[in-house]
Formats: sequence, structure tokens, C-alpha cells
Amino acid sequence: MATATDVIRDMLEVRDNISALLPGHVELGDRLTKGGQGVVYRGKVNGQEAAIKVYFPGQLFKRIDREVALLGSLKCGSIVGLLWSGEIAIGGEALPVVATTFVAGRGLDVLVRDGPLHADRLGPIAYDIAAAIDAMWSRRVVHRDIKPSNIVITPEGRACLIDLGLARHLDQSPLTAMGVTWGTYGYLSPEQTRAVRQLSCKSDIFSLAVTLVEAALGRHPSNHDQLRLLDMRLHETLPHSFPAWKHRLTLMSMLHPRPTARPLPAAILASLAEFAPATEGG
Amino acid sequence: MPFYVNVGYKFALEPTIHPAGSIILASALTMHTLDRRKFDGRYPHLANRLFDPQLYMAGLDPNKSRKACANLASYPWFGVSGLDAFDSDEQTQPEWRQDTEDSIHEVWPRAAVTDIAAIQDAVRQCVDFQVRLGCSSLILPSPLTIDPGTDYSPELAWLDSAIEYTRREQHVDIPIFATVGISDGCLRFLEPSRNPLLDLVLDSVSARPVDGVYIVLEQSQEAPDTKHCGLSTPLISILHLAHLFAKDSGLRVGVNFLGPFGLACEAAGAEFWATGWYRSLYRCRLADQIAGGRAFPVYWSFPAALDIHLESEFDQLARSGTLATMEDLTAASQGLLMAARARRSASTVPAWRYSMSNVASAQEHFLISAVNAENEIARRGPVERIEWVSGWLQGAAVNASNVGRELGAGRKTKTGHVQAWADAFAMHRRFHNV
Repeated sequence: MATATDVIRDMLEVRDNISALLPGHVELGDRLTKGGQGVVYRGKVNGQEAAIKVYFPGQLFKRIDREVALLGSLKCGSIVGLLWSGEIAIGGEALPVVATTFVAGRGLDVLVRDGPLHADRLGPIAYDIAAAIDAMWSRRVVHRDIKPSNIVITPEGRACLIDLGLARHLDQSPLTAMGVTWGTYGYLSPEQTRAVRQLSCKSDIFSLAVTLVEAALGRHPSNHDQLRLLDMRLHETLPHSFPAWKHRLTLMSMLHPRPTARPLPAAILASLAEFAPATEGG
Repeated sequence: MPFYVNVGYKFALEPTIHPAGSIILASALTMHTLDRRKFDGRYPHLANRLFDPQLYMAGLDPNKSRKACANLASYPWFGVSGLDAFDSDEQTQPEWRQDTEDSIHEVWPRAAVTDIAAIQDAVRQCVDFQVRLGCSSLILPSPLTIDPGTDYSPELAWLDSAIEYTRREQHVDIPIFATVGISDGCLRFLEPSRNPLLDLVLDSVSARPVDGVYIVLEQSQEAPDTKHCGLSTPLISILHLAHLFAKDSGLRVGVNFLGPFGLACEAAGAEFWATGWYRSLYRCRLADQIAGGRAFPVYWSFPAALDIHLESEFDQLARSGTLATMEDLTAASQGLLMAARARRSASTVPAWRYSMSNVASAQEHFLISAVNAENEIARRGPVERIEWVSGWLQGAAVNASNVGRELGAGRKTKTGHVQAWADAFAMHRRFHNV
């Protein structure tokens, strides 16, 4: 028997159920995707293309508030920007809605399902997401969930980080119980698996590196087996099928089990400077 | 030469002592005293100077270390309110000290401030003071880590505030060192590879834009009757930190308050180490009576890595021939060793007579010996350094054992730490395969 929450979830999949509840400057378009936290629609905010996420009931409001605050404070070309946030009421439930800039392109997870990315495409992705990690870390924010499905690749081959839902500022108290870790199996850094309470940007660097290996192989290196991933010692040897790439040593250093041995985002950006977007290079 | 001397109220050093520089300790003199000091040619060792703000001493007991607390209270980053700042129009410095020491137990906060606005104000004053003092590097203050289960956020709040301020004020041409001050109670019971606190500290600090790390081990678990650290696990932990900060993250590492064990830290990757002769300059233990108290001379033997008690034991070791294998000859100890070889008692050498405050030669000798040892290690490459320190500590352990056997139970010469130093370094080598 369907619960009230199930009913609301179903209602969120029908655009017209939501459209009428949004303010006039927010227009809802086609449904883009449905995830664990909510439904994402394409739309417009004040005429600007937007991705509009309507959260399912039962989500942690505080976490969403943090994401909104973070998106509003970060200025980085490879992180989606905040356009609007608010709430709608459906079936007696207040549901948060967050509209971010719409990034035209395909999810990296979708691209990888089509096959391995050519090595030439790794550099811009590595650069852009390292820049995003750097921007977040300058505010002492750790994303904690960098993975292909949270990265959109534009037609020009640039990368953009789209979901900051698990990002945590170091000043903030954890929203999870001690000993519980957040993130996605197969992408967690060794320290993240130990549920260390104070992660640094080095954890995101590890997750980015796993994402890049997956993109280059066309498959996850350990088939999302977290324990096997850490046993593979990718910092010493990449899988045989990993393509020739002149920055593979940088990539391997990003996979080091000790965070101290992984490079800082700024060092990665320096070594990948050739992949900086044209606008950055002047 | 990366050996620094910790200096206290008295800046002058004997001209025979040539360290790379000096570290001025906040606990040793007040801010207004330091502000009035001139760094001229009289103090060549202070041409290259650092200033340790010693925020990790915020937990000091004012009843036990009244003088040190009064000194520290004069620095604004300790957040002491209710004390009058020194005003030369109103009072003399001794009057200020008397007033302050009389009331320090009421106003000393016993902990570092935690309010973020207060921290930001404190780091601003601390950084500005060091710049004004002409320090060659800035030591960013940090509270002491005393809880092994900490998430390290209080320490990081200080560090991030200081980094932000140094960037904003564009002190970018002066290297900045993050203080990592850890109580040995957090390190004593876990091997470093299984101690999550060390992982946390290493990750958190190395992920921040600092040039180096300044490591201080607070030795709360140590015996009060010796100044040498004798617990091997905290020592291994410090070697572990020095090694990974330096080798993994490429950070410059300084280590203070471990005496000549700093040489082992240097072999593990540290760039510099510091110590002093007086107990308050040699080690950091908040339960000690910091500053003040009585001092008697001892004879430091580098080959045995220990201080030989001068009242009677030095003579006994000389008579038995044990001393011959552990002589440490410096310009300051020449007379003492000549007397020993001539079978004369140490008490016949006035500069080494066992009497209170007759410590100038003992201090000079120890510091020359430290400089000499530093010269030895500095001319070696990384691999040779490790072998040299191993050789020194293994030899010292044998010498210390001989001393123990010769002097027997109830001896005043402390030997227990020497084996701990040797064990710590050997375990460090095994663990890191170096």
C-alpha cells in the first residue's frame, strides 16, 4: 500500500503538479532526472536556463540549507551557480526547491557507459574539477561525493560539478552520527572509509582521481568494490588498459593512500595548466 | 646550520656558541620587555630569530608557574582581561610584575579563547608582533592538543584565521609555520601508524597553505626529576610527523623541546630543531614549574646522551674509567676533563663546582656540544644522517648502560631515556623502511 510519502513522490514526477506552486519568475520545463533525493527539471529562472531540483519529503532541511548557502557563496566556473531557492507545499509537506545554472551537456557517468574517454579528454576534466575542489577548499568545504554522476561534461569537453548536497564546511557540526561516513562506495578515500571527522580537500582529490581512472577505462577500476579499490594500490600501478597519458604520474599521486602524499588542488592546477579554460589563460 | 637556541629573559650567549639562530619564548619575558629589546651586534645568534607565541601553554597552572603566566598574560593572544597593561609612566617593570603575579591566578584563563572573532583578533596581534620583531619566519599560534579524540577544529580555527590574516596582509615573503602542539598523553598508548589523531593532524595541516610545521611535544606524562623525554612512543610519533610532513608533503619542519633528540628528528626529515639548557628552555611540560626554581650544573655527554651528575658521580665515573668512553670535549668542558684525567675532583674546577646557579659552563658546554653535533649531521646526506644518528644512539645506549652499572641503584644521573631514544629511532627506521 502506497504511503503518503510515496504519493508525494509520484506527484513530483508530474510537472504540472509543481509548476503552479512556483513563483512567477521560475518556469518549469521537461523532467531531466530522478535521484535519491528528488526530481530535477529543466527550466528557467528570470529567463536564464536552470536545473530545478524539487526535494522528496524526509530530506534534511539543514543539509539543503547548507548546500544553498554554499552554492550562493562560491564563485567558480566549474561549479553550478545558485539562481533561486524556495519551498513548495504538496500534500501538507514543505518541500525545498533549488534552482541552479543549467549546464548543457551529459553526465560523465552517461558518457562512460558509452565507452572509455580518449586520454585527450582527461586533462580538461581533471583541471576543471580540481579547480572546483580548490574553490571549495578555499572556503574549507569538502565535497565528499565526487563521482561521474555529479559531473557534467559540456559539448566543449569542459567539466562542471553539479551536486553539493553532501559538502560540509569544517566549521559546521556533522549532520551524521559519529562513525557514519557519507559519500559513494567505490569513490571514497581511505580516510573517508574510516569515518574521519575532519576530512580535507585531499579526500576529494582521491575521489576525482578514481573518477578519472574510471573515465579512461570506461569502467570503474574495482567495479565499485570499495575494499578492492583500496587494495589495488593504484598509486603504484594503474590498470594495464589505462591509456598513455603524460600526466599519469600526477594522477597516481592523487591516488596515494596517505592524504599527505596527495598533491594539493593548487599543485594539480599548476601541473595541468595547459588545460586551463581559454578565458582563464586570458 | 639548523640548530636554534631557545632563549629566555637573558639574551646573551657565550661567543663560543654559534647556532643558526634563536627562538625567543613568550613565556620567558613579557611583551613590553621584548618590545624594548634591541637586536644589535651583541646578539649575533638573534640575527636569525623566531618567536614562539606559545599559545599551547594556555593551560599552564598559575599557582605553579606564576612568573611564566604573568609573562604570557602580557601577550594579547592569551586573552587575559582584568590586568593592567604595563605603562612606564605609571609604574616600574618590577611593580607591574608584582601586581600581575599577585592577581594572575584570578585572571589567567587556563585555556585558549574559542570565540572566532577573538581568535581573529588574537592572530592579528600575534602575527603583527612577530613581523615587528623582525622574525625570519612566522610561527602561527595553536592551542595544545590534549584530547586524543578531538576533531582538531579548535586548532584549525586558529590556523585558518592566521593563514587568512597573513594572506590578507600580504606577509607572503615571510615563511609561515603552523604550530602542532600535542600532549604526549595523546600519543603514548598507540603506535603512530594506528593513531588516528596523527592521521588527522597530518592531513589537516598539510592540506593548508603553510610553508612549514613547528612541532612541540608537551611532556605531561614524563617524570618531573629529569628533563629528558623517556617515553619512546611519543618520540616515535614525533619522528613519524616530521617524516611525513617533510617527505610526503614537502613541508619544512621544525621541532622544539626535545633536547638533542632533535638530531633524530632532523634525520627523520626535520629542517631545524631547538632546545636550551635550562629545563624550561629544554622541554615543554605544563606541570613543571616554568621559569624560576633552582639550577645546578651537570655535565652533558653527547656520546652517552645524558647529563652526568656533578656532585659525586662524575668523579666516580672518572675514577672507574667509564668517563673516558663518553667524554664530550668542548671549549667549556676542557678544564673539567683535564681535572678528571689528572684524577682531580670536579669540585676543584670552580666553573663546574656543584653549587646552585653555577651553571654558566654547563650551559655553554651543552650548547657548544649541540652545535658540534649539528655540524656533524649537517654535512651528511639524508641516508648518512640516519646511519649517523643510529650509530650515536646505539653507542649512547651502551654508554648509558655502563653508567648505570657503575653508579648502581639510587644514582642521580638519569639514564632511562637513552634506551627510549634509541628504541624510538630504531622503530621509526623499521616502520618507514629508512
